Amino acid sequence: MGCVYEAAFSAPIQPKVDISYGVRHFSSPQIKQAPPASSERYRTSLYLSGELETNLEIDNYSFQGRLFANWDQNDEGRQYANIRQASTSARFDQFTLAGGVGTFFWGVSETINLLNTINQSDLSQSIDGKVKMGQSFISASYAFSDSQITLLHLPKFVELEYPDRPRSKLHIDQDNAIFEDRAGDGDFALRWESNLDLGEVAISLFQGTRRDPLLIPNALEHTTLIPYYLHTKYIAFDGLLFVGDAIIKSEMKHGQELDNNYYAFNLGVEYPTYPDSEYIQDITLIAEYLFDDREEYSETMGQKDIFFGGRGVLGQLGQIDLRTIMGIDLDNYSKYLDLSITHRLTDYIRWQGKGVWFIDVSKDDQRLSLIENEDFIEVSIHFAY
Amino acid sequence: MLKKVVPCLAITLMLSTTQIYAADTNQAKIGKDLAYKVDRRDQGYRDTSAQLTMTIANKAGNSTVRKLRIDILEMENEGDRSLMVFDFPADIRGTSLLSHPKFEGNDEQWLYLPSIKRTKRISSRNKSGAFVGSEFSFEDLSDKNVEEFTYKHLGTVSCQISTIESNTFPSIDQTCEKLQRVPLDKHSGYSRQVLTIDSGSYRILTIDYYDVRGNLLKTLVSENFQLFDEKYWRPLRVVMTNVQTGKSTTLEYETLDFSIGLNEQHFKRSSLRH
Repeated sequence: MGCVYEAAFSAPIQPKVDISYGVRHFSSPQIKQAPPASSERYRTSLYLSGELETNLEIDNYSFQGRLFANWDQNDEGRQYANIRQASTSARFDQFTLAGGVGTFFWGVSETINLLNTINQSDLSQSIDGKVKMGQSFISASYAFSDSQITLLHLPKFVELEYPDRPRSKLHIDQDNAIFEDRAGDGDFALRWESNLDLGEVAISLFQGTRRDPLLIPNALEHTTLIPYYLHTKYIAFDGLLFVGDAIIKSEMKHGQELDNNYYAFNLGVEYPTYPDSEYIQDITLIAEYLFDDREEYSETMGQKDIFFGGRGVLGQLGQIDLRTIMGIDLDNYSKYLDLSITHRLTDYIRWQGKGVWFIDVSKDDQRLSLIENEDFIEVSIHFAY
Repeated sequence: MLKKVVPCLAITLMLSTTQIYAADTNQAKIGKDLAYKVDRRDQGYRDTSAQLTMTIANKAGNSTVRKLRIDILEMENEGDRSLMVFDFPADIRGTSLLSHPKFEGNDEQWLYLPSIKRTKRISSRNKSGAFVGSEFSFEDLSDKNVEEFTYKHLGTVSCQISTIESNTFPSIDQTCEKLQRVPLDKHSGYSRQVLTIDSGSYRILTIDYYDVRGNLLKTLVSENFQLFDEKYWRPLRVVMTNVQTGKSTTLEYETLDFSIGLNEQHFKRSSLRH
């Protein structure tokens, strides 16, 4: 018999706290073609943010919580709090029922995730939409031996919020957003995912309001854009294949918007290397190609883009994480460079740096041209335990 | 005369070669028997769950601390499965390593990195890579099958064993066996390993790891042995030192529970993302 009995699968209840203080600096002082009120936008701003995360599991019941808050000296759009996660779940043999507010991640791509559309993006924290706001949900899952199927109901739609910076050159009238289908509240999603010996595969279905709106010019005010939220439905596949040391990844999506069929895919590869060095733990090379035949109606920054870059873990103690990605639009050769670094100074304190640059942006690139002068760098110091 | 000398030399040479071969064969047999005794010593524990502190230090004395959990499930026809999950520091919380060692074919290991929400498979070619910056390679963290090595018994030596419960097993001088094992896997990061095993309870006290060039690379020392369930010895402190770089990694157990009821479901790939 066992020495000490504990509930199986019990997880630590110790909460995780991450508090950071940082500064962001934009390369240009104001935005061209902006209305007078917007031309005085700040260039440098201090910010304070915090995240509290806790998990509790008792037998077959669990609770997950994650609260995020940010205060920015000059940007009212970045003064907010958001419940990223406040969900409970109960497991009955192979069935799991869950509900509350959650953050989901679908997809395998490093750069742009075509499928990660359950949650609304948090543009205040990520210009590429990688960071997500919490989403209310109810779900039912059934676990097979090597796979799982989940049905999601998403009762409440949350509109995209735009910070003061980085932001479009034109004013975005968030208060007068238009919906193609006003019955936007109440989206459904279904996902089956499986782990194979040689990789992972998943098939997803989604029907509801598209999280990323089209920005259409206001007919009366030519300097204003109005968010237009489309109704969308799609079927998608994502998977990765382990081939030796390399990972081949793909996201594919076929759907319907504005009565038109569309398809989009992201195909990529990453290859890890382990140099024989005390100071380099590993370096992973990344290349991805994105195609979206919706072109200007696409829901991401890419339509026909290629990305390449890498991630690395450096330092004798593996205390430095480095990541850089360069994106190139193959239609007009606009470029986008993202560089980030995290350096753990002690077990509790780390500093992070991030820079985003838009290079040779073509006027034909409808998404990037709106934010072409929004290059910025930010540095923050974090205390976490 | 010459005709008589040549056959004599040949016979002498054959006899000594046969004797050396017989001695080698005998050392190999004793070595393999010893390896099986070490393996059998642990049978029947079913599963364990432990919380540990990992301290990684470099030659200059700088160190970083990580806290992790390790769950292990005993398997009958393959290597014991394990799931390691990091809880501290906060920025690597959730990093997980799942190991499915195979008796036949390559071991399977997957690493989940929450920062990129990605599972990576550790390929057989990269299993000599460092695990989260520690001196443990992925290869070190996978359960070993006796048949994965060839063996040679190097001799009997005196040794010391430190135990927590000196009343059940006093910390005194013991006799130990020196066992050399050579990995059969061509992708192993080691040319050979030399183990020190106590002759009484077959506990592995030290392992010297030699790199592919034949130079001593790392030394693992197990200390503070404690007896669980009156049968299973576990070292509560393990130190891996890289003698070439001066870096070291210390694993110290804070809790260790046996037979808590883990099953195969807990060691599936989906568990990595929890």
